[in-house]
Amino acid sequence: MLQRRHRRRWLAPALLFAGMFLLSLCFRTAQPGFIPAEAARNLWTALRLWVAQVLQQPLYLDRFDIIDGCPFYYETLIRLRNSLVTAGAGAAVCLGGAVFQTMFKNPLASPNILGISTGVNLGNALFIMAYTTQSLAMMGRRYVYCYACAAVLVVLAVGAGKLAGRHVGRFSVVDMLIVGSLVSQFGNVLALYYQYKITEIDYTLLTVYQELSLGIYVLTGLQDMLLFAGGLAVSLTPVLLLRFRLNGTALDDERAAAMGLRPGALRAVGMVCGSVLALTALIHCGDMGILSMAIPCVCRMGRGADFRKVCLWSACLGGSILLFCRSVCSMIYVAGMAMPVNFAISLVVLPAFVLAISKQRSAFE
Amino acid sequence: MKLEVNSVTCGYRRDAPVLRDVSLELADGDICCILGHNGVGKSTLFKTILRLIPPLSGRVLIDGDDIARWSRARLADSVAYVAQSSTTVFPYLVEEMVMLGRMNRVGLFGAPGKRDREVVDGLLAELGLDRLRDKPCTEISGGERQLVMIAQALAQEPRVLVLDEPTANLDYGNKIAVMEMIQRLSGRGLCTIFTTHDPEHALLLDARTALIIPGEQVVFGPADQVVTERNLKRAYHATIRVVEILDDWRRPVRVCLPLLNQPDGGTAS
Amino acid sequence: MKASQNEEKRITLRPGAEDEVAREKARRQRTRKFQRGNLPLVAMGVLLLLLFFLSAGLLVKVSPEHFYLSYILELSRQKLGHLFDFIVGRGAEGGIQFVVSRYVMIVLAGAGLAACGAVYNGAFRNVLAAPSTLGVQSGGTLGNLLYVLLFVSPTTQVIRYSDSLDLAESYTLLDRNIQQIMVLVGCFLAVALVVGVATLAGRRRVNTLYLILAGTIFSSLIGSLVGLVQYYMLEMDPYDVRIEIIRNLAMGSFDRAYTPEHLAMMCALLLPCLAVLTLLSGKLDLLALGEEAAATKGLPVKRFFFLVIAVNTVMAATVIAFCGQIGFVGFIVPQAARRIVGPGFRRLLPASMLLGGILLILVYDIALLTGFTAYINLFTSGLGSAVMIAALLTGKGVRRAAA
Repeated sequence: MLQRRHRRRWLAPALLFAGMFLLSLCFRTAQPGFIPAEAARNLWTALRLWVAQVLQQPLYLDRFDIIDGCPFYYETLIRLRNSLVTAGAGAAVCLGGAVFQTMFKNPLASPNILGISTGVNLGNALFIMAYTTQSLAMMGRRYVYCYACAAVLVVLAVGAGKLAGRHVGRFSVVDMLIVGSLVSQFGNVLALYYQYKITEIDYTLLTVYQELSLGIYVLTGLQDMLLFAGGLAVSLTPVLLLRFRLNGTALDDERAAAMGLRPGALRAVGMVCGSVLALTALIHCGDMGILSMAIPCVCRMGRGADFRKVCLWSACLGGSILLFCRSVCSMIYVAGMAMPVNFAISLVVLPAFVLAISKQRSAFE
Repeated sequence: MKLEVNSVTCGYRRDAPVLRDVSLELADGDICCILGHNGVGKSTLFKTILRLIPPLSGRVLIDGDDIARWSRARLADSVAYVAQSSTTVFPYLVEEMVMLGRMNRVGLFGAPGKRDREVVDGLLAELGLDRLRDKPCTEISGGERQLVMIAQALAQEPRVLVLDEPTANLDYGNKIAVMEMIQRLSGRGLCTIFTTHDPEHALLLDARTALIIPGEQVVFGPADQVVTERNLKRAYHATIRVVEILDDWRRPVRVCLPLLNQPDGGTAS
Repeated sequence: MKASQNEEKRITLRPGAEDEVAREKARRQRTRKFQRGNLPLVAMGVLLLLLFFLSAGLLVKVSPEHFYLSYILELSRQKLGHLFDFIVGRGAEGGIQFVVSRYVMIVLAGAGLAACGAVYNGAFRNVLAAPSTLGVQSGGTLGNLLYVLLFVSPTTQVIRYSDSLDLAESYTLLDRNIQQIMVLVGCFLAVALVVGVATLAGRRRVNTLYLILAGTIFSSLIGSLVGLVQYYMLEMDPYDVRIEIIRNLAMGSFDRAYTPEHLAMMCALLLPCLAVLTLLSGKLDLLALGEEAAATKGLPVKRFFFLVIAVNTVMAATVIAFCGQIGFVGFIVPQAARRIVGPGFRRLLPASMLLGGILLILVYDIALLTGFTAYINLFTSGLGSAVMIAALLTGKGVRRAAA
């Protein structure tokens, strides 16, 4: 009986995730439209053509005719890549949030407090400042800027925690959080400054900046997808492998040490992996607001605090919610552009978050 | 198994040691109770035994082997620790909380398996926590939480259990429950060390008692020899009677009785 | 005066035989300490005045002929006339106008923000509790956004107030200040919403955590809403200059509203608040002890808490409406003031106000010299981070400095 309860645990979130992914595929990319039947046929066709190409079947020679027979064929393919990145980003950012909350023993912590989203914004702004009108052609350089800025901010915050704790001989989490939030506020103002400085060069560049930071278009080029997958793989693997161990960071350091763990080392691994997870997601998918704070919190309220459950649920739920929001947003067109997903996330996540908190009052009082 | 604390001086800074030259020797099934007033260094001694801070001098030996060279994981296999107040803000379920104690038994990248679940189920049943299994730790009472923390430490399958004031903040009934459990564990061959503010506990459990008096050598010996009116006066600067009464089985039991406003006051020593 | 009376009362309440002598001795000690404790306050006051006159008289080019302080000091009837013009801001053409009223506004803004920060630090017992915690800034941003959408047509060229003085005079008072009013209303509504939601969530009890949580959520919601509106504005017309109005509010500047008329409005809102806080400073000490401790000492905590929040909101909202967002003043200044005069509100509050004024004058002067007067927020934020890191480097943790 124990075994069965254990096995079924991952089924519900995985089904939800898969369902949302399939739903997300049914939308058009260039215009509002819900086309499940066509999308299914297009995907089937794409699969057949791919197999044909690999096996060198004659079917592949007729590919142009076949594709002509499928309406919205290329849109569906773009949508597929788009949904892959979206699902990955949503899962990654929430997993990052879960790691950070467990590590800082604070149910309201999020990667943003260390200045990660600020770093991404600042990186975007500096990148556009540096390349001005050529920035759209030089997207590859953007990653350098974003990663560098975020790294600087995170190192500042973590260094402050180290420095402040040096007399006590242990890492000071509170000081790190304070410095992190201050530094990221400063980074925000700086990003805002550059954002308007851009307008002095060219007004249209501000639009580019906003599209990058709001995640209007998900970058789906081969290089971008590879970078995204690489970032996820590097950071996701340790987190998943250590999914039981990371629970130890939620306990007092002394208790964890007495259990045979090395809390410092675990925290370092968690910090790096959580940061990279969140960074990868934010760079590729734009700002996601309170998603990374709210979802792990909601999952913990609903399913208990064991990190193994929290990481599974928050990844699946986060990915599903982001996919859902994108699906909804791609039906709402204003001024010829799909709605940014940022605001929709707030609207969807807020009620759940408030409900979870009001239900679990005792944890806060 | 034998735990030896060999003339250990402990403290956070070399120039200001908290405790000097402490020696204890315990074997399987022993109960050791450490007494002393607030801030005298009981927790510091514990941290030294657990190697959370290195001893300033002297050695801590398990089976004649110096633990300074042991890895954290190896030490955790032998010694488990229940902290004084371990609260977590997260709503871990009781079962999950106890399962965390298996951390040292599953590998670095592992997750709990069938055997781990059996151990945890056994512990929950033994400590009477079965009905709380699916409750969040944030919603159970203080006494229950203490039991959960003890269960977590026991899940490590240690040979020495170190409890820092296990009865602090508990009501009378829960205090007794925890002490009965300590007795039961020692009957199973577990070596238990705990601190308390109640000298009575040492007498009740008939523990080997270490009384820490600031500025003097630690008094170590059987409870009825250490917990005397004279020693208590030196340690706590208060008048405490040690009286002998008979329990329901007509066995003699000693209890402590504090007295207020005695003629010689609390300050003379 | 009032303070020493308090001390006396407290001492007479203390039972014991050694009244007379001890009382006299204690009183003398207290008064001496009181005076010595006041020394930094006096020094700060002097420094503030000095800075004020130096900046207004020397630094700023008032007219094309470089209106220096030495020029004013050589008194003559004609020059007195010039001085009068200078004060009311008439004689300045080509340079910066309304120097005196502008600097008075700067001092007021600094004092208001710093007092706000000091009071929130104490009331929430948290160093990070600043005016923005309860969503004042987001509310201001929202009000400004509504103003932009409702009252500014996309074709208007945004003109600086200085360029449009003549135009402005043809408007009514309401028309001229509609932006400030919208921002004020936005701030008030935001705080009312956040506090209301937090109180409801906390079952009619004031719970700090819920307040901060509700504030954070509200801020992030408004942040994404502003992002959305800005995005559509630019998407429809990349050259929409209305963005500049949003920018001005976010970056903080004293070049938006600085005439004596603005000054009068700001005084009417800020001075009563500062006065109320000064009168309440003894009670604020109690609040800093914690809610329960304050309640057992006879303070109607809940009502008092709401009063403090209301007063603080008015102050922060006023500063935002007239000067835009100026971050970190409410964070750095109380921190520094606490190190100089200690944590007692009786001295901390005036010290924070004075230091706030000094800080903002310095910042404005630097901004003026470097030509970045439209980005005051950038300077204060940079300074705040630097102070923060310096505080950590000197070895005392932030928490301990605040506790």
